[in-house]
Amino acid sequence: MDATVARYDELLNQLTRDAFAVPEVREFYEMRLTPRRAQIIAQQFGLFVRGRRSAWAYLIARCPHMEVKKELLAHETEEMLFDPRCGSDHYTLWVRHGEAVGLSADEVHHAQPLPTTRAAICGWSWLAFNLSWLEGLGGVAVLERVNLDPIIPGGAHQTRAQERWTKDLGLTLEQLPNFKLHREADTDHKGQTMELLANYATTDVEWEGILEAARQSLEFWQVFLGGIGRAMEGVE
Amino acid sequence: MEVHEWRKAIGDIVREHSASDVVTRYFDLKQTPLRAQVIVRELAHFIRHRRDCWAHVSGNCPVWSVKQKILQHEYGEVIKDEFSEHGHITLIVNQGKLVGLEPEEILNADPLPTTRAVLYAWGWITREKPWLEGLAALTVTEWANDDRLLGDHGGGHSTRMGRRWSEDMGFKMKEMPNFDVHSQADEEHSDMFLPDLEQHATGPLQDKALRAVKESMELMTIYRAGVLEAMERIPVEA
Repeated sequence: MDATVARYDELLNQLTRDAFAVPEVREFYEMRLTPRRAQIIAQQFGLFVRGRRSAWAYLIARCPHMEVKKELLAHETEEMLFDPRCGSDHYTLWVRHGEAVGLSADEVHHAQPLPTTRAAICGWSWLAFNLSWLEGLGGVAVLERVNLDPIIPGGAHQTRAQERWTKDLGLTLEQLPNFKLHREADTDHKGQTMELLANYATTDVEWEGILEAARQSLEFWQVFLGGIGRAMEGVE
Repeated sequence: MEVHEWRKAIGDIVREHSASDVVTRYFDLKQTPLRAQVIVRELAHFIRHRRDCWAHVSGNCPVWSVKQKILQHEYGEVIKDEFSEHGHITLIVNQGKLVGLEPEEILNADPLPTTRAVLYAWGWITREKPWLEGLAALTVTEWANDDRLLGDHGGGHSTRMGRRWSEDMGFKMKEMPNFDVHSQADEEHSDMFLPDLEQHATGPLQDKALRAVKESMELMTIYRAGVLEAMERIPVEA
């Protein structure tokens, strides 16, 4: 990784760390889980996984480079069709999490988005649909970093969430396949995405555009988690 | 409409296109290597641009099962399927070699103005219009390769043009990978989205989807007319 790429890689890491310090994100991870609260998470994260696919599809549509389209299609194949790491698509894992806390598959499939969930999903699609494909990719893909333990002191998203689901709810890791998978998958994905950004971002202007898109994307993440946190506060 | 009614309705529009004057002239024109090069260059644009269009429809579509199906379709086209280990663009590149084109002459060629215009039009339909209309507009173009539907017209595009190349230039079907594969793959693709049209294109959406099918075949006619005119300008003896 050359010096410029390394510098922007670290700036993206710092933006991600900053997102964990925002009050509504901190509160989300600190809130004690109950089965009812976990159901809200399973439903909203199911919607999150499905809703984010449109953003990735727009990136595939708008990127003019066939080799990048191929990479993104491979990424989406793991998310939507089959990931050999878990033996299913990624959405199905949230259905299993929902089932572990008493939801039927249908209750996950037909869950209604919180207004904040809908707004955040629209935000990610907006980035992909309206910015340059490179900025859009930087923005949409920065969320892979929230799952990277090495860059987040105190543990990244999956690690913190796993702790709550196992300690507060007494569930086993076998019942919660999503957490381990995403620690692994997003480590791979982050490396692949960074390589694409590094191959095509050739000026500081382009990198600054990527940073700005990433900043907005992480704000949508805050909106998303904050909305779930408030919904969880409203139930026992 | 049920699946069989959609099959009939779309099939009628595709058959009308196939029997049109432009398409008849397109397939009647004697093929030479230079004329065949025009087909290859424009088809390479067409094939690559489909990728943008299908992704736009997937982006706009809220139905998970349809998104998954589009991804399966695109995985086969771009990455690999039972017909190609490296995506379908390699099929046309390999077929281009047969008529004297290097890969970069195919991949870096400017499109004909008519090709550019219709690709922009398909791009607009799939990006800006409701996903169901985009889906209908895209899926129908694969029907033009369906030998089951167009057997009495001499076959779908790949079979019919493959025969032309065989008769005029002496190639065997197996030597023309793009024609060989698409005469089979697009039959599978023709059937792929019929259940989704049955389920989602109901009420007023039915007519809109059918209109998208019709408009898409009009674009296909413009595309073929542009290629035909470019080929006609090349003398047989050139």
